[in-house]
Amino acid sequence: MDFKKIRKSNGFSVSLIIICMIAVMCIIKRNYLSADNISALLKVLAVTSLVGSSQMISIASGGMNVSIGSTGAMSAIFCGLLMQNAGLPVPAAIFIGLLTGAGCGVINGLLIYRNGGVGVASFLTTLATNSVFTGIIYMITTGHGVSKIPASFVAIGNTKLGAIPTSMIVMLVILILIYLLFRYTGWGKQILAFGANPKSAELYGISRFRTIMRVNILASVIAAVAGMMVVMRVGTAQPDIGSDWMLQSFAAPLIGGTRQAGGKVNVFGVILGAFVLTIIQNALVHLGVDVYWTELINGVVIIVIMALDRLRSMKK
Amino acid sequence: MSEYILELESITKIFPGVKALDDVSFKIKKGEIHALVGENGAGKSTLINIISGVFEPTKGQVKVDGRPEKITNPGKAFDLGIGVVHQERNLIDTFNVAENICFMDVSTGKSKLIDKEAMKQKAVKDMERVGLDLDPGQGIEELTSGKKQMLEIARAMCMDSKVLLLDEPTASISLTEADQLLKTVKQLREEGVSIIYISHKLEEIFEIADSITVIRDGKNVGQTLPASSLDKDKLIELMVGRKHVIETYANREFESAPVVLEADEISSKKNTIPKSFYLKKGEILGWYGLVGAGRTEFAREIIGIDPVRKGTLKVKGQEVKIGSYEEAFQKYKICYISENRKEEGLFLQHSITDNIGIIALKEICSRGGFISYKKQDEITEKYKKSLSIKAKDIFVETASLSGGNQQKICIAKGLCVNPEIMIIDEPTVGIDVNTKGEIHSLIYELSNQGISVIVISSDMGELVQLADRIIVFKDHEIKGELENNKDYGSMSTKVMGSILL
Repeated sequence: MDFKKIRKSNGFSVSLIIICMIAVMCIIKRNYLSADNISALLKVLAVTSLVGSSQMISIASGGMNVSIGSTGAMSAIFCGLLMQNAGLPVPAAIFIGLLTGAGCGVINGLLIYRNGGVGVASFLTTLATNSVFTGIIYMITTGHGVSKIPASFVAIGNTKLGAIPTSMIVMLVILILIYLLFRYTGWGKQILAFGANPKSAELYGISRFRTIMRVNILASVIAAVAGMMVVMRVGTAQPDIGSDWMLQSFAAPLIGGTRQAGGKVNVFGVILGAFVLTIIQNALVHLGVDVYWTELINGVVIIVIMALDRLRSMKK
Repeated sequence: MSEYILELESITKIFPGVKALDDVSFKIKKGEIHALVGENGAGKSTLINIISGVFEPTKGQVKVDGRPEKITNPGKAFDLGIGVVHQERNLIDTFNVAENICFMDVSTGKSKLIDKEAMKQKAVKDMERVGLDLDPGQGIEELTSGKKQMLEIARAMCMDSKVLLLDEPTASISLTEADQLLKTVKQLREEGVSIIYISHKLEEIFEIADSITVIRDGKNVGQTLPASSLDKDKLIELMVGRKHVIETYANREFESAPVVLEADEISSKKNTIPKSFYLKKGEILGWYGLVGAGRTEFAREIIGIDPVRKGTLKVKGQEVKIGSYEEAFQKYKICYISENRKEEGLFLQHSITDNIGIIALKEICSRGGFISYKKQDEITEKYKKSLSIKAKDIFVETASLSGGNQQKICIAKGLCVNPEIMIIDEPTVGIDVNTKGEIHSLIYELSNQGISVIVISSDMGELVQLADRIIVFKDHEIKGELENNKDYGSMSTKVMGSILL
């Protein structure tokens, strides 16, 4: 690929933004690139990337999923409670956590399919299930977190291989698998075709039911991984895990070059998008910006980035 | 082994409240081109949908190669070797050429993993078969509609189809592309593929079909007949149930009529070639050209969607600058009726009366800005009667009406603003012979009332019958202007001459 093509790509411009942001932060904060801060950044990045890729799968199929946060929280809580109260071994607990995610996916998938499948149907359905899932979490925990998490569980995402936290590696492996799914498998292509044009896809033999189920189960399982990863990072399972995922989950893939209307994905772009979001969050903490401002700034930055992207595509 | 590849026996399909097909039977021989003809709404597309597994028949049986089969979903049809090219384009815009052609492998899940190289080779091979020369890695968004059509046929062939269903394949492609398509279809017959061909263009049917089945109001009309035993008039008679001739209208004199619209060397950002023409009061001006010749684009310049950058545009002698369609509509009384009824012309989910009401808002609103439904319904009833729109009442959803009636509603919407100039883009595309005549007389009637009409059409016969003067477009340029003498033979030579020269 020649440089001209690279220069025009979405990844290039987002990378530029990232480099600029890091440069600015380095000037303002001398020790910005300290090992501690980098490690903290990467751990958050891993979660945000997973959240973004989960949403990316839903967007690719022409739908959306606003229950990602509660799905993540649900599996984190279930997994944590089983380890704390029932003394379940770590691998079994993780398995239950993933199963919880898959269960949420099945519920979402069935309801979305019954409601007509794409677009607004998926939004309304998951908005409702989000409320249901959150309700269940608060009923079970009565609002208290699960604090006795075994050290071996926390270690899974919290140790380092060289300079890289293990959670980053888990995230990278999952993203590579998603990349392979969309690039080399019939399943992936079916999802993309369905997202681009559901009517044609159905006329040519793609099953609406199976596609929607696959998408939702996959997306929810990834959300479950992200939820458990937060527990590994923080050390406790709080019922409010995932409450701030909604905006991030949409922003990361869209900044990363995934087509809003579905049918086209940029899997590794999600990491770039998530990186932008993570740096903003991290910078706000470093600069001591009031917590009440972060929401506003987050929103504005995302609108600006999307506006820039729109300008760029108009020039083409 | 049976002599017939596909047999339909007493197919009946009942939709809630409508009997779309009533005891329809016919058989397709191996390696023949079988034309299926009938007016709009006769049930052809329902038949296609049953054969391709989109609908299941209420009653009756489909036999493939002598064996009775239940085709329950589109995937099943492909497994049985039935390839379909539906009337609407069904390509995936975000996929490239090869991915679109080998789509069936993906959609039916035959290959779990995708081998890009094999896919490319397969795509090239299939494109060769239909005479298409494209880069398999290319995106499809910029392709012409003809190329897209061939791409869909290549896709259907990719599955080694034994039967190929083509629903109106030439409805939206240029003449040369249509020729290429017919050649391909004939070649496929040589290869032993059986083809079911649906078209409104009778010339095509007589050119390629071996046998013809006529369907009217969801029923068979007589037996399947060999194409050689029919001619055009007989076929039309079978289709509409009575003798029908489309009228050719008399020549009129416009020497002394005032010019209502005059364009002098106008061009826009999108099309920088200067173009000039004039339009007189009460005149029907035909804009002939192939699809993609730039007629619609030129109309969009006039009505202000792509505003004029250079040159002058005069409405009734006054120089004007039209910056938006709203201005053209409200201020200069120019209305444009899109060729794309379903997407740009109508609010398909709304009723007839709501479709008309939204345009006639000014007339039906009281002084306070509240809508009077009584007035809206009165206006709608008036148009329903004067344009003879065939519908149960004015409250039916426009999506449920036939193409011809939808077109009439589009025209009614245009008339709501009392236009002085109407630009009607492809008024009769996809409309059956019978309704076509009605639309023509409607346009002629309007011009007699003093409305100047520009008819954009790729159907030369239509313009020769209807227009007073014809302007010929090619490659976004005006190539010639001809007085219409209403004689098809001499006019078509002249028109073709001005395109070729």
